[in-house]
This record gives sequence, C-alpha cells and structure tokens, in this order.
Amino acid sequence: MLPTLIITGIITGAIYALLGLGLVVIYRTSQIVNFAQGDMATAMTFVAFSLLTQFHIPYLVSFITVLGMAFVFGLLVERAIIRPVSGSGTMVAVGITLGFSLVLNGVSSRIWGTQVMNFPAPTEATAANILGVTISGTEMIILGVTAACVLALFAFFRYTRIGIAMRATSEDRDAARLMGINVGSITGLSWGMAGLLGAMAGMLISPMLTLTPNQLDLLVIRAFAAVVIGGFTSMPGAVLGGLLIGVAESLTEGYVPVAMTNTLMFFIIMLVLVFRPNGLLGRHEVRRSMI
Amino acid sequence: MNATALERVRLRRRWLTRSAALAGIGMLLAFPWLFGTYVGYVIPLALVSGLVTMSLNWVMGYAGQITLGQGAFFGIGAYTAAILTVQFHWPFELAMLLSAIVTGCMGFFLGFPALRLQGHYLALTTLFFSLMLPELIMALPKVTNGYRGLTLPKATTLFGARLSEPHQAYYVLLALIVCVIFVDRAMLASKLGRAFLAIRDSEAAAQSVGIPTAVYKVAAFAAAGFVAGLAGAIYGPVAGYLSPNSFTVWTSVFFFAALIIGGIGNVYGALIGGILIVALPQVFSAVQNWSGILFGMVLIAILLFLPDGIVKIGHWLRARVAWFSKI
Repeated sequence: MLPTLIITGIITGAIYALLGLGLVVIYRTSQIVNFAQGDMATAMTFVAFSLLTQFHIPYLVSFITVLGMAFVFGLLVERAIIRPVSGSGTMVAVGITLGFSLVLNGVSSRIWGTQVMNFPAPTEATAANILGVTISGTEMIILGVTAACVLALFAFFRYTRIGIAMRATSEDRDAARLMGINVGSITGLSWGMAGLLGAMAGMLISPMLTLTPNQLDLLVIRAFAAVVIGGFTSMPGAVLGGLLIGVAESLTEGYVPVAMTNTLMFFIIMLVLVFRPNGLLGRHEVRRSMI
Repeated sequence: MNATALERVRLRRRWLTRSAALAGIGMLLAFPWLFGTYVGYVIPLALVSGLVTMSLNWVMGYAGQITLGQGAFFGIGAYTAAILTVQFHWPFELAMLLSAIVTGCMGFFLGFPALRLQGHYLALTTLFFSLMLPELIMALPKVTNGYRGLTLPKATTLFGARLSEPHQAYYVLLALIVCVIFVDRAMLASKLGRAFLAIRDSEAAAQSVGIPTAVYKVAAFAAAGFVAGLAGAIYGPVAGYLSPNSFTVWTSVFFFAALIIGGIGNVYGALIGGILIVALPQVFSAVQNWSGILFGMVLIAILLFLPDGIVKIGHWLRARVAWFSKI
C-alpha cells in the first residue's frame, strides 16, 4: 500500500508542481497570486477536449496547438486586465484574478456544460513496474514532461537573455527598466508561460480524473499550498512543495477514513509560515511585523 | 437680501433632506408589503449577506487586512447556533450569543497569522481556513449531521420574532443592521477606528507613532468574526436548512467580491454590495451560470473603472460630466 500511495502522490505532486511553477513565474514578475490559474487551465483543457473529440485532430497536434493558444491567452489576459491595475495593491490584484476566475468558470460551464467528461489519454500503454507498482503510460508522460519542464525553465532562466531579463525584473522592476528591459512585455511573457504550464498540467492530469469546469480548481488549491510551502519566489520550491503536498495528500487519503486534506493543508501552511515565512526555499520577502 | 436668500436655500435643503430621510425610513418599514412572497424570501437572505459584508469591511476596508475567511466565520456561526438549538435545545437567543462569541474568538485566533503575514500570504492562509470548514462539518457527522445537513425548526424565534417568516426576519435584520451601522460610526469616530485606518494606510507609520498594531489587527478580526457569527446564526432559521455546501470557499470569495463591488472602506457600500450579491443572482437565476460570469465581470469592471465601488457612482458620474462639459 505504502509504495503505491507514495508513487501516486509523486504523480499528482508533479501536476501541482506544474501549476505551482506557473504561479511562481507570475508572482516573480508581477507580485500577483493568480487565482484564475485553475480556470485558465480548465478553459484550455476544454479547448483541447473539443479539438480531440469533436474535430478528431491527432493528440500531439492538439497538445501543441493548445499550448500555443494558452500562451497567447496568458499574454492577452495580462494585457487586458492585469497591466491596467499594476501597482494598485494586493487587494485589487486578488479581486481581479478572482473575478476573472468566476468569469472563466461560468464561460466554460456555458460552452462545455457541467456534466462529467472523459478526456482522452495520450497513450493506453502500461509503461513500467516500480517496486511492484504498475505505472501507466500517461503517468510516465506526466513525470517525464514535468521533469523536462523543470529543466527547460531552469535553463531558460539561467542561460537565455529573456530569462535573465525576467529574473532582473523580478528582483527590481525599476532597475530593470533603467537597464532597458521592457518590463511590461516581460510581465506579459510570464503570464503567457504560466498559461502554457497550466494548460499542460490540465491536459496531462485530465485523463486520470474527469473533466468538469471545477475539476482543476481543486488542483490549483493544492498548488497554492505547494507554492506557499515551497516559497512563492522559488521555482525549486514550487516543485518540492508540489511533490510534498502530493505525497501528503495521497497518504492522508490512504490512511485517514474521512476527507481531511484541506484541513491538513491549513495546518501545514500555518506551521511553515510561522517557522519559515518565506517557504522552505524562498528568498526573504514576507515583511514581518515588528512586534 | 443675500443672507436671507441663502438662509432660505439652507432651510429648503434641510427640509428636503429631512423629508427624504423620513420617506426613506417609511419605505424601509413598508418594504415587505410592497413586494411579493418570493422577493420577501430573498430580502432577509440579502440583508444577512449585507451584515457579513459590513463586518468584512472592518477587517479589509478599515484595518486593511486582506481575508478570504469571512464565509467560514459566517458558516461556523450558522452551524454553532443550529447545533445548539437543534441538538441541545438551547433557546435561540442564547445560542446566537454563544455562536457570535465562538466566531469572535476564532476571529481572534485567525488574527494571529495576520500579525506575521501580509498581502497574498494572508489571503491564501485565510483561503485555506475557508476550505477547512466543509471538511470539518463532514468529519463530525454526529453533531453536524454530515452531508444531510441540519433543518432548523420553523418555530425558531428571536425575542418573539419568528425568523422563518420573511417579514418578521426583515425587521429583526433591519434593527441589527442599524445597530451595526451605529457601532461602525462610533468606531470610526473613536481611537479604535483611527488606529485601523492608520494601520491600513501605513503599518510602519502607525507603529512609529506608538499604535500597538498587533492588538488592533487582532481586534478587527475578532469584531468582524463576532458580527459574522451573529449573521450566521440568523441565517440558519431564515434559510431553514444548512449543509456543508452552503459554506464553501466560494462563500468567502463572494463576500470579498461584494465588498469591493459595493465600495471598500464604506459601511453603506459594504451593505449595498452584500445585498446586491444575493439579490442579483435571484434576478438572473433563470439563465444558468450567468451569475458567476456577471459577478466576475462586474468585479473586474469595478476594479478597473470604479475602485471606490458602486456607492461612489454619483461622484464618478459627476466627475465624468464635469470632464465632458470642459471639452
């Protein structure tokens, strides 16, 4: 039982990590927690669903098309509703993204309905057997794609000009602007990347769950917890937090007879924030009161 | 004569405001008779929501602490009062008082994270507090009746008023709202209110002039919890039925949205926002899923174009008119 639970936890944790990476990318450039991350991802997953089941476009083509659309969607969202309120404070940012989440959720429900749908899996094959636990092809793909994303993001932020510009923007917007970085475009880019990561997570996890307009909200809530635990400014933190949350959730669901995951999250978050307010791997950022 | 003309204008104005106020009070008192039973059923629920939003305004609008946990206080208040009356047969007045004290204490404890956390971290911590409530309700089926929910007896009365009757509930809630408005006004005029506003505008500056910000932040959460608990307790018999689904994280999100739509930092704005968020979906309920879309769009539009909320729409229009007449 234990190995199964841990491996299941790692696989869902990988999805939390992908969603959490999107949250971190946005937070680093615009200091905004994107409460609409889940619904943006859901909308894109539904688009993929339509492409696959109604238009019968091959899986890989649909997958890549939707990733591109998600990227553009993220860019547009930033341009339309985030940039106009940049610098107006946390409450406004929370309100805007929550409002957008409500709109998208309603739109997805209107277009695709609220009945449960089955998202096609990329492969039906059984791939591996680790410690007596059978891992499906889809699960292998989830792990592989997440690992590839993490490596690609790492390389992007370390070695490319745009990646370095993004890091500069996250450290000091004004200084970055003075160095000739187009801070607005960089922020937009981060929203595009977050959109892409979200869509990827949505398309990968949906075959293992069912597809409804609210399905991913739950996952994003776990991703929030992952990111708070790992540190809102840290990408490795998001991955670590995602995996920890995934395993913790899987273990509680396995051993505790009632659903207690959110309660557990609350207490873990409280503990982490009391002892390490910046998360496990985050850099110093949360301003403590002076009492 | 100039002075007398001015005097006459002043007199006429005073007379106008007084008669408008009287007419307003008359309208408020006669309101239940002007509308049918269905609207009558919605109105008490809308007023309950207005109460919660007014309490949320103390934390967010005055003390400037962001929270997505107000729906949970509301839910805890509702469940505490309902459990005490249904399972333990307490008189409702006592149950209501105790549930408000319970939520006040929980507000006090949730205020502690606010001492260490700010902005998004506080928003997320309180969000998880809201997420916890339905799970806890489901985890204690012996007292909460789990997913089957609790049905409140129709005969529940508060000081003789039967809360399941919309008309009677309306007057109880109206009285309570007037009380909260008075408390709100008194608070703003006092040291407490000034301390809240100082913390909102700059916590460092507030501390530098010797305001014990920690005490005041916790006080804001506790006071807001108390009122939300009262509102929750009344919600039970007014709605007649409680279930874990009545108090999801979306409840908190909706109160948050209501406050911003109505006008954050303004007690009347909060009241209006809270009322609208319950009343409008009833109007639009014929079309499925539209209320979420509508709310989201209104919320975004308000934040983009009218950040002081609906309550300041007059100022906003006047400013636009002035701007247009200039060009």
